Amino acid sequence: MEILTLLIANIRHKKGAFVSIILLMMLITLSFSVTVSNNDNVSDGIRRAHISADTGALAAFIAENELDDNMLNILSENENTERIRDEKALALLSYKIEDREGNSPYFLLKWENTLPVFDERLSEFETAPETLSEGEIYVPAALKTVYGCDIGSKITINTKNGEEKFTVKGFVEDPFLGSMSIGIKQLFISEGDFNRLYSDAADDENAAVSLLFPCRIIHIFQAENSTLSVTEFKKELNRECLIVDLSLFTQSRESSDEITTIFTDTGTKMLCVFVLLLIIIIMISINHSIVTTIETEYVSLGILKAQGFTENRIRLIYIIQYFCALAAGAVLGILASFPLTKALGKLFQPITGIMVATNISVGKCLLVSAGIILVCTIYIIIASRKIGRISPVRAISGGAEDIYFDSPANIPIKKEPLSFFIALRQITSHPKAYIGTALIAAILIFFMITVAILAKGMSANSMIEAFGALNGQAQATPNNNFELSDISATESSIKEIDENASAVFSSTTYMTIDEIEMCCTVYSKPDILKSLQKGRAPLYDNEIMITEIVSEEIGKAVGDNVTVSYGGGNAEYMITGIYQSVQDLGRCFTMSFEAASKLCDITPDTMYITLSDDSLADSTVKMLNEKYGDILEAEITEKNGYADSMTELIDSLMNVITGVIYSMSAVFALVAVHMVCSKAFLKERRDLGIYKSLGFTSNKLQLCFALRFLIISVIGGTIGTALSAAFSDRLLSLLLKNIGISCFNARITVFTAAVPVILICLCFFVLAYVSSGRVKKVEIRELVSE
Amino acid sequence: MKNTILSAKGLCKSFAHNGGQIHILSHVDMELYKGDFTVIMGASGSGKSTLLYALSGMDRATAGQVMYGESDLVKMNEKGLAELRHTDFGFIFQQMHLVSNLTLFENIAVPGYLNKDKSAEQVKERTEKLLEQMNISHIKTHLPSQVSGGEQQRCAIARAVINEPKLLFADEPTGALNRKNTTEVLDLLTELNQSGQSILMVTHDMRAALRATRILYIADGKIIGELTLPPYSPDEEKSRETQVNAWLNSMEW
Repeated sequence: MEILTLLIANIRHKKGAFVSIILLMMLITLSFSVTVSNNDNVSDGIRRAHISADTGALAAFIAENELDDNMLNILSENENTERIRDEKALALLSYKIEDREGNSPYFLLKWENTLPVFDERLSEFETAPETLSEGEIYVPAALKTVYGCDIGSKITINTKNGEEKFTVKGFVEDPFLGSMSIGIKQLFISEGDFNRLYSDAADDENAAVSLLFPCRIIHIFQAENSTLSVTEFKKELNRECLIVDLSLFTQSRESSDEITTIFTDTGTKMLCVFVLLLIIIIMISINHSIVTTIETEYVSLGILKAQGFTENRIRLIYIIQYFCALAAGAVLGILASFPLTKALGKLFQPITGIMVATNISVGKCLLVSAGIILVCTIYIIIASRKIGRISPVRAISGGAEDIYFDSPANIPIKKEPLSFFIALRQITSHPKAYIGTALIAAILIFFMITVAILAKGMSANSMIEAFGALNGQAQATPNNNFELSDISATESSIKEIDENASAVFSSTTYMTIDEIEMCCTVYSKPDILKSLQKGRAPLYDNEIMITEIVSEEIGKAVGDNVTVSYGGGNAEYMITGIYQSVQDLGRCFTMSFEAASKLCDITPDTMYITLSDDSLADSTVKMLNEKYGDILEAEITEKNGYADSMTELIDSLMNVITGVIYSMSAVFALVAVHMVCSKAFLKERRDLGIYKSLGFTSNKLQLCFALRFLIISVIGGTIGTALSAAFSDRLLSLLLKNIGISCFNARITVFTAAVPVILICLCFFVLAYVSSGRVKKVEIRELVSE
Repeated sequence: MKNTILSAKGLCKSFAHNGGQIHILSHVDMELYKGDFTVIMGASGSGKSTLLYALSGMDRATAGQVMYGESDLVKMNEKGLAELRHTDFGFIFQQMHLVSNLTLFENIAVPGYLNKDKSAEQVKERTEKLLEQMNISHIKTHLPSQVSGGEQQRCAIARAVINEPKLLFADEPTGALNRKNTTEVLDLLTELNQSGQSILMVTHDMRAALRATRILYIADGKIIGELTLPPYSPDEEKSRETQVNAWLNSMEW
């Protein structure tokens, strides 16, 4: 009963600290509850959608002319195969969505009512989706985000008979290729249209090189008792029938899921790190609260001891008090996460293309909350051990004085600026009280700078070059008449217009490297890539360059030899360098056209033209089309549908993440400053009265408080910036490895560091000024001893 | 003819308590004169400290006027009062109230730094001089917690006079001191007064009252008696004590 009485009195007396801990814990719980629940919802949604779509563990997209019954038999009879499902499709290489040209291959399939169809607002599934009439098409929901495609939009495809237009009838949920982060898509047309186009394409003698050709999508289901990993399963099937080598591309359900959840996973990882840092902040706050309470209430605690309260009993009051605050915060956080999870689900739905539930993973959240509370409780037990050192005799005789200002530093107080020097003295005379606050500022600034670096690094232009892609003012698409020997001629012609211009040809395809299928980009000049990490770019026809992710997966490094196979041919290559690329989430490698020619004939599919002057783009394009119109088609690089939408999406996601992190940092700064300020106010109330009696105004004293926290935040900012310089790149590399960035080179500029530091310093200054408004209530009369 | 430095008219101070009003000061009329060492005496709870703080503007009176020159301290805003505190008024408290994380030197110099008319060098010079005068220059870099109560109070006196105030308020300045320190502090206050410093002191210590040139007696929130004395001289202390004692007895002290 006595514990309950003291507990209630404590909570009533220290409402501010109690509410602060509740608020901090609520924010922490809210953050992980929303992200973890969203992650679970997306995963559950994908799992459900795969079952509904009958997706195999592995799907091979193979041209009809490469497939025979023997291959199908080998695939279905393999001991690790449960069954196969194959369906006819048309590979579509040239198409337009409204007036925007697509650049990833699409596959046209017959609509058989197997996938769920979204309603117009993408909020529900149609209970009875309409069947397609001729000229109508169902597309994945991601096309709405990527191309602004809507019901009624036109999709134009190029057939051997010319252009054919289809009207979008609705959006389907495709868990396999429907995500916005996957370029390749499956579109569905009516049975009549499909049969007609398929028959036309099959009759086409040039089917293999046309823009629309028949192919087959084979879903291979792995047996439940198979012990092979998907990669091993894929390798084994390829060894038996070259299914991977001969396919246009293959995709496992596992990697499709990884790509689909790339944004939710990365966001979750980012927030998990933030939550970890916030847990450190809450522990610093609790420690500060306990230590200052012991100092300011030394006499009361001594009296309690004198009345027979044991050290453990007093500590128990503290433990229960903070436990209650943490538990209340956790419950409130979970409750507050309900509407936010719903909102986040809606935000991610157009990205994943999957209908996700908006459930809260209550069990998981409660478990994590319990874990945080347990860690904090252990910490409270440790932090409250100082209660044992309280001497009742010294407390009763007012002996708390020696705890105050235990390390006075002799920085002289000067007349100008007096407020600054007084603020500085308040810190140096009791530095321990401010170490925690400086650490909080440092942690917040560290994470804010890290996010700022990430946002800057992920911005459209910097990302293209730093992460292994090419860009230019003009582009050209070589056609089937283009030969490798044309490369130098076109380049020379471009140099006649701009001698500093550079023209790079590339071709992207899937090859196997040491029996593992990876994306390979063949370049006319692989040394143009600016993302080399180690070694050098391949120069000779027996050299390749791989990413760190590929290096880890195949267990080979610079100097090692690998076997690359493609189109039935294979050859040995030496790895000359490690580079970075976000293509296929880093599962890619590169080589020169000379090197690729050892496997089979590969012709370029794109030419990137970089000019020294933007104004030369028009004349360059004109010259290329006039002079080389029979072998390529050149155009000014304009906003491209998919790439542009992706960068826009990444930009807006980064803005959302930056906004969330900055807002939460501001709230944490508010709570931390308020807590420390309140405690400092309690401890210094007498001194404030004295200063007032000497002629200091309330405003001047508030300014002293604010300056004190400004100095602390500047110290924290310096530590935070140093931490960022040391660890941000490693942290980001770790977090972004799943999207292919294994080595994030953090470049802290004055701007990226200054904005978070200024924001936090400003927050600390303003909040301390406002929080110390209670100075006005301090009466000089309080100094009077009646 | 004495010059009035501060005057009070109809000064009242009351508190709300249990739905009613407690009157601490009741229509006090009084004047303080330049160069006087005025002492207010009275029994515990008579309102003497309340009167001191109402007169100094540290506490707001409920009604009435406290005129300092042309200004009414009762109506003055916080900024104006703060200005007065570091220019015209000085304060000495019973519990010294030095800022615990400032050295003795800094405790004296900081209010001096608030004075815009004086340079930092001038403030430092005066601080050094006061430290000498108070005989605490050898401990000027010490913190308050490292020196004795008497040394703290001498530091507090130096702090109170750093800006050469026109009026020095002292609330039981010897209340927390032993006999030796009490004598030292009273000697300093007497010395200051005899060099022209006007002082208003609240005390219930007979020895402190003997240093006054004027004693006011307060009872039930009203000034009920006044005794004027010649300037203090240690040689006449015995006869002065007899006179003051007799007067206090007449006030039913």
